[in-house]
Amino acid sequence: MLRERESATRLALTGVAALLLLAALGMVFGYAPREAVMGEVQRIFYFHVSSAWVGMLSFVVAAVTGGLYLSRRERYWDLVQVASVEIGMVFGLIAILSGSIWARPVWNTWWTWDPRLVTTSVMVLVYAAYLLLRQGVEEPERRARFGAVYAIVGVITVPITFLSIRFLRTIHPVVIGSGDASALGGFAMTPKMLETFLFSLLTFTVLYATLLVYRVRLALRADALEARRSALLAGY
Amino acid sequence: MTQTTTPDTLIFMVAGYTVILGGLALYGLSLIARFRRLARQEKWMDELENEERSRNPEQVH
Amino acid sequence: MVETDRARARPAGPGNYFRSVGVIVWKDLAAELRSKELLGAMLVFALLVLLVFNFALELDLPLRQAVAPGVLWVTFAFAGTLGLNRSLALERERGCWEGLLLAPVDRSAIYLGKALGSFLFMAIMEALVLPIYSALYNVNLFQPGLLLVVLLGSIGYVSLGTLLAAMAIQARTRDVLLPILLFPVVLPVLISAVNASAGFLSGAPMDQIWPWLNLLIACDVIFVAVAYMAFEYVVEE
Repeated sequence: MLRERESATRLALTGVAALLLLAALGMVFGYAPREAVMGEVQRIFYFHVSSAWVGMLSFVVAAVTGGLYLSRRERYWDLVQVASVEIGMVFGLIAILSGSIWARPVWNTWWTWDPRLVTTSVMVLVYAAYLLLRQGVEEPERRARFGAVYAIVGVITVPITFLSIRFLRTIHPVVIGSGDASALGGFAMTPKMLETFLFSLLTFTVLYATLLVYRVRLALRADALEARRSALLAGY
Repeated sequence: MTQTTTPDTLIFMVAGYTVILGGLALYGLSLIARFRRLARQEKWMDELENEERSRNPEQVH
Repeated sequence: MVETDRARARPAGPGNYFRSVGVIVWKDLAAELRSKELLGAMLVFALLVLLVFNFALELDLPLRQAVAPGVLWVTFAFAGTLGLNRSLALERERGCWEGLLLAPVDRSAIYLGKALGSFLFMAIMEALVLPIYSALYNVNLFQPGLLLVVLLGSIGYVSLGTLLAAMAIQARTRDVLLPILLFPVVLPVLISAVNASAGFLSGAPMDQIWPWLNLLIACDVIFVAVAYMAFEYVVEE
């Protein structure tokens, strides 16, 4: 049956994700060398940047599904969008928090106005605004339409925000803690580090896909349940 | 100036990975919890539908 | 079919389109001139923000001049939210919203009309705030460069704001939702506007200010285009 095959595919994906995660952890702690200037804390870099990458990937996926929903009006795209926003927000928050922890020993501050860190925060705020927007709209069709429009607006404005902040930093480089416009992540990457980094990116992308698949499944099942509930009530 | 010793920043690395892996785990657990809740609600729905069907045997669903 | 009905009712063409836009703008303007609710609220709110900043940031004269551009734009951003919200909410309250949507005009004309109306209100508010501001912060804000920035910044702000306000008023949490939706996405406009304003006020050379002006203009074009196209999806009924 199709359902069994889907379930098997999901389990297989979960297995792959788990294996990749274990392997990535192995590489981060066993394979990658210890960085000379910062010490052990630099190892955060691999998963920190990968989390930020997934946050941005989710953002783009949310916008693309928004466009798909507006043109096709299929509920499925709306469900994928919500799932992507939710997951993207989690990864975005992880990226910000891990970045902050990384910054503390290196720059002696919990926060730097690094363009990438700030833009990631703006992205998380847009995610939060998106969820609040959906919360405030009761009708499902309108909720989907509004979410789609806002996600598209977000994906256009956030990169522009990044460019403006980066330009700002190139002309005002002096900021708490950092002296370089490319503040966070100022270290020389050796080949082993690069390999670990790329593998982490791959792992996190697969992780994202896995979580997305399950989150969408949850939404689809909830939808089906809701339909059954309406049918039952209609019978009374 | 060359640094002769690398600073000990182990504790920050541990904190960072706690946040990363902990965050992922929390989200995963929230998904599991939501799936379980859904399964329970689906079971209730099954029961309700069976009740409805037994009450109105002549109605075709 | 509705489309052919519309075509029969009014001949299509740019003249008619812009006339529709004009009608919407004039309707809002006339209603406001009569009641003055909106402008009054915006002006008082802007002054209150100014006052709060003055006491929150107890600054000496040179520092006050340094923060002037930032405080100015925060004031405009907050007071502007009020204007955007009320402009669209009043429509809904008076029951004109459905009438507007049923009228044989292109949805995008409604967008342009509303955006232009909000822009005019914002401009009037700014015209009243600037002299008071000049006095309180001891800066001459009536320089052509600065006025240009205020104009361009307001265009960018209102273009996105009208689109998002149209969504916000259809939600339950309408009053608080607009700033939450607008501020994260209107940041490029604010950043460019503040920096360009600061450049003009500090007498910086033009080649330092041009990048910010270019960014501001680019944002205006992009935001107007996006909002113009997206508006119809937001007001489907």
